[in-house]
This record gives sequence, C-alpha cells and structure tokens, in this order.
Amino acid sequence: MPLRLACPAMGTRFELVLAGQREEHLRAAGEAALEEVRTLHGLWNAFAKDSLVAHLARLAGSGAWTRVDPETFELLELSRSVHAASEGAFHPLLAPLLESLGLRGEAGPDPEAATLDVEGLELDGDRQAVRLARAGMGLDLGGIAKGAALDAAAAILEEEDVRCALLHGGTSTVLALEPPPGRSSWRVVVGSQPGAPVLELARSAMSVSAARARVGTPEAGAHAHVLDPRTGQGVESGRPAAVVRGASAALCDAWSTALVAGAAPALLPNDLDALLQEPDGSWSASAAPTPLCS
Amino acid sequence: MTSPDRRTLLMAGAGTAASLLQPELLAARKPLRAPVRIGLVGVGRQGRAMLAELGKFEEVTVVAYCDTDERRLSSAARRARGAQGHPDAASMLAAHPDIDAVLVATPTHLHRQPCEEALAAGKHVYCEAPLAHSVTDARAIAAAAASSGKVFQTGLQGRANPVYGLARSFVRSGAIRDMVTMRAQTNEKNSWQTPASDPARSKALNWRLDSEVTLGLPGEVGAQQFDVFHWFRGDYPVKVEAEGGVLAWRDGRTVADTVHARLTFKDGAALDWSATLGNSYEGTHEVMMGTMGAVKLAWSHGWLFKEADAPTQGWEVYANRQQFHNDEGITLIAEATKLASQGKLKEGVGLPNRPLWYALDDFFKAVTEGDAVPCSAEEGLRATAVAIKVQESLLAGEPLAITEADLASK
Repeated sequence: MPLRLACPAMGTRFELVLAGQREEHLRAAGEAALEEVRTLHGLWNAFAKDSLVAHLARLAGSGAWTRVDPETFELLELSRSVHAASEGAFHPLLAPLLESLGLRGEAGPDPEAATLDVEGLELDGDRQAVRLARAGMGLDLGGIAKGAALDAAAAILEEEDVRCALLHGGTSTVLALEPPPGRSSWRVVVGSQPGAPVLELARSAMSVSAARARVGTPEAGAHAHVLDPRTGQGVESGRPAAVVRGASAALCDAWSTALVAGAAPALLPNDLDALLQEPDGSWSASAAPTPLCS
Repeated sequence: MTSPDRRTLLMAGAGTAASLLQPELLAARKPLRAPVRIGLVGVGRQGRAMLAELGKFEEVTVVAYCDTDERRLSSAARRARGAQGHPDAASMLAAHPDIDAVLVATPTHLHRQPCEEALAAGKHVYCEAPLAHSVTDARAIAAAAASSGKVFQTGLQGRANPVYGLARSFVRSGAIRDMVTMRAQTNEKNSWQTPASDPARSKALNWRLDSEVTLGLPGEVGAQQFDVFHWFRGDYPVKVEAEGGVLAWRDGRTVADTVHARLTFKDGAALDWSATLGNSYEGTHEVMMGTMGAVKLAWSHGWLFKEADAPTQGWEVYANRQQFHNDEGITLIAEATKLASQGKLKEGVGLPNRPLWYALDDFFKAVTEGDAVPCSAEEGLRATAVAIKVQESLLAGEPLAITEADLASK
C-alpha cells in the first residue's frame, strides 16, 4: 500500500503518495518534504503578516536589502523570467492590484502604475538579496508558489532515495517521480466532466489554471480567479482553463496562469506543452514536441 | 527583561488602552549601532530557521558556520552566501577571530561545548533552549556565562515576544486578578523521525528519539512553554507529576510521543500541560485563568477573555474581538488606541515577525548597545531544570518535588 501524507499550506492541501519498501523511511522522508512545503508557505504567504513576502512589502521603497534563502531567490528569478517570456501575462507583483480589488480584505485605492513595474523587483545575485524599489509594491506569488513548493519537496524525496511518488498541491499542480511498480506512468484526470483529458505523468509535472469566479468585497464586485496583469481586469472569457506539462512544477504553475491570463500559446517555451480549453468546453493541444495527453 | 522604551510596548495597567508595536514601526526599526559578525553553530532545522531571520538584519553578517553533518554543511553553503563552513566550533572560532557573537543551534545535548568554547574565546553567545540535557551541563554553561563578562542569552522566546510582553503586563497589573489555574499544550502530527539511510547518521540526526540524550517532549517543546508561566508568575513550580507513553508512533521507539504533566506552584495553582505528536488539534498555546478573566497566548497572537463580572474599561470600546465558540476574546493588539483612531485596528492583529526574530533582535541590541537580555543564562538554567524534572517524573512514573537546590546554579 502506498503511504499518503498531507498538510495544509498555501490555502490548500498538499498531499504526497509514496511507495517503497520501508514505511518508516518513507514517512520520515515524506514528513521532511512536507516540512519544506510548510517552511516555504511561511516565507511566501501573502496573507500572513510575519511572512518574508510581508517583510519585503513593509520595506518597499526604503532602500533596505533583505538576504533571502536560495529557494526564494530562485523563485523570484524565475518569476521575472516568466514575466518577460509571457510578455507580462504572468506577473509576480500583483499584491497592490489584488488589494485594490478587495481580494486581500477591504478594497483600497487603485495602485500606482509604478508599483506594478517588474523592474522594481531588484535582485542582487552576489548577496542573494532582494528589495522592492518603490513604496506600495508587493509580491503575490500565488501563480507559481505551489509549483515551486512541489519542486522543493520532490528534491527532498529524491535526496532521501524515495523514487516512486506523486505530489500535488490542491490537486491543481501535480508532480510525479517514478510511476508505481508495474505502471508506465501516473494517470491524472483533469476535471470531472465526461471526456476530461487524462495526462500520463512520469518524472514530470503539470498544472492547471482556470478562470472561475471568485469574489472580493461587495464594493469591488466579483473578480475572476486569474487577473490579466496587462489590463488589471479579471479574465472572464477567452480561455476558461489551461493545462501545462513540463519538468518543473513551478514553470507549469506559472505558465498555466499566464495562458489563462491571455498569453499567446506561441510564447510557451519548447520544453513545455499545453492543453487549452475553449469557451465551449472542448480542449485543444498547443503546438508541442510530444503529445500532451492520451 | 526587555526594557519598555525599546518598543512602543507597555501600558500603565489594565485600565489603559493596550499599546504594542505595529508593522509600520517595525519597518522603521532603528538600525543597530554597530555591525555584528556571526558564527552559527549547527545548521540543521533550527540553524536554517535562524539563517532565515538573520537575513532580515542588514547590519548582521554570518561570516562562518559549522556542523558535523556534511550534507547539512553543503546545504548551508547555499543559505549563508559568502560565509565559510567548518566541521566544528573550535575550528570555526580559530579561523575567524573577528566573530563578535556565536549562535548555538546544535542538538540540546551538544550545547555545552560550543557555548564554553565561544565564551572562552571572548564571544557573545545566544544559545537555544533548553540550555542542556542535564543539570550538570546547564550549570556549566551558566557558570561559563557568568564568568565571561560577555552577553549570554538563552533562547526562551516568550520573554522576547511583544504579544507575550503585553499579556504579561495585563496579568501582572491584575487584569485577570487571582490566577487559579493554567493549561498549555503542544499538539502536532509528526513522527519526529528524520530521514537518513546511513545508521550512524540516522542516530545523530534522530537525537530527539534517542533515550540516552533526549529530554523528549518536556524538554524540546515543554521548556519554552513552562517558562512562559515562570515569567508571568515570577516563580517556579515546586512539584511535578508526569505520565505518558508511545501512543501514536509504534515504530519501536521508547521516547514518549504523548505526555501529560501537572506542574504545581507554591500557592497551590497548577499548570496542566500536554503534548502529543499524534494530533495537531489546536496546536500550541498557553492559557492562564484568573478570577476576573483568562489570557490565551498562541505565540503570534494573544487574547483576553473577561469574566462577566469583571469591570469594564473605557478602552474596550476600541477592542477587536474574536469569537471562540461561546467565548469572546479581546485581541491583544499593538497600539490599539492609535490604530482604532485611524480605522486600522485589524491591521494590528498578529505579530509582523516570527518570535525568533524578536529574540535575535534583543540579543543584537544587547551586544551592540548594552541592553539587558530578555532571558539570561541563570533564567535559562532554571527553566531547563524544570523541564528535566518533568522528564524525570515521566520516566520514573512518580511525582517529584522541585526544590530551590534543583534550580540553583551550584
């Protein structure tokens, strides 16, 4: 029987399914992996006042640098690169926009455009330090953090020689190591509708994003789950959902967000492939070197 | 004790509006008067947590670190960019004579040697709690600290926590009146197993489950909580009775994963403490109940629950409240009056930094500005001695007295 472990983090439930010979070792490795997820949650949680993200926001515009852990630094580097590659459809600095829309408590004033300028996310690679250049800036890593946490958790499992595992964060981002004995892959069904795509995962990850509605304050009105950073508006039409598969769960997470936010499929890096849902509910594959689903 | 003027903290009494730090004040935190160069001993779980907090202090540089575990040394090289790794504290101290202060985050039973070596080398020392796994070692550390003339801080974090400082001022000014009973718990679901394929490494990393050296749950989580009550009350228990066993993780371990203890104080009031690794319900918190109210503390948050016949104070009109089933708690909030006048009361709920950050901040201010540390080696010794007594009672299966001599430095 595979061993299942889980913990709440990042507003959802992370779960590990582990298979192997010694349950005691599997449990210890799995707990270490979940501890890493919780640690990263503590650093990246935009809703917690004592998180690293909140600390950086408080110091925004002060000129002060904060030395950060390598996981955070690499995540911020990745966020900047996906922002550039997606031509702005993925954006790591949406906190002031989300606040203005009432998605972080009471609705606030419209953010100044300069607070959304990604150039203001300053990274010093020599010192592994970060600062936000202007007051009012704030990170929101909700479009990439779950994937990055899964990558980190998987790295710990592999360090501890756990080879056969499936990890997911809230079922929307999934990372597979080796498949169960006797199988060629882990099979993941996207959604519950008849004809839903089934993905075959082995040593790969996938993430799905959907533009379903979520609600802010009554004053701010309802907003989509995903914002288009280029307009500041919720994504309500066009592409209801996108699935991205690749080696890195963080990249899959970020690019599925970007595609739902309106990124052109042609911008997708060659080592990722995608399934895009059409407004009528049907799915189409992006141009991809390998077929995405069975 | 933390000096009140270093934080916009204290209140004159229960009849005054609560006053505590708020995020904006922390963001404008006064820089340290001098840079501090750090050597970190132990880069496992707690060492990593320390590195994460140290990155927030611009004036503090980690110049070196050490650990006996090669994998952890390798991991630390990524986390402490620019710092040099060493296999032990002695070689680290020899290679870096310019270190100002040493932070000790080794397993509890390995605190003594690096503490003594660092103090002998003229370094200030912050040592995690409990101070040691034996009274002998704890006394040796306290003696070395006393004779060194250097700053020594025990990492009992409640004493540095602003929410706890505010709650203590309430309690000591009579807000809950006579303390009649106390309880505390640490509940988590975790086997405490650390993965390691090599048996020797596994034994070293799983020291918390090694009955030869561990203080078990009473030491590793209880010591922090017991000391909250010591600090609030100003006294120590005189009797302890503990029981427990392996109820959740029947994997061959002998160290209890579930413990209940009653610590009785001289006035007859008792603290009922429990800890388990088998269930996480309600997590970690401490509660003090008096004839006029109760205080509940959960490290980043705190609440005051008033009895119906407790006098109403004027400031309560501003209070932020939170419902717990049938009870309504008044949230202990930073600068409540000021925030309320700005319509920002809810922004004051919860601490903007981890408890460890406040403990380190106090330590650095003690090192650079001569402030008193919130928890001395002597106080650390007494708290450690209490935790050891709880563990001894658990192992003996019988109640034990705690005498002045048990808590004494000699």
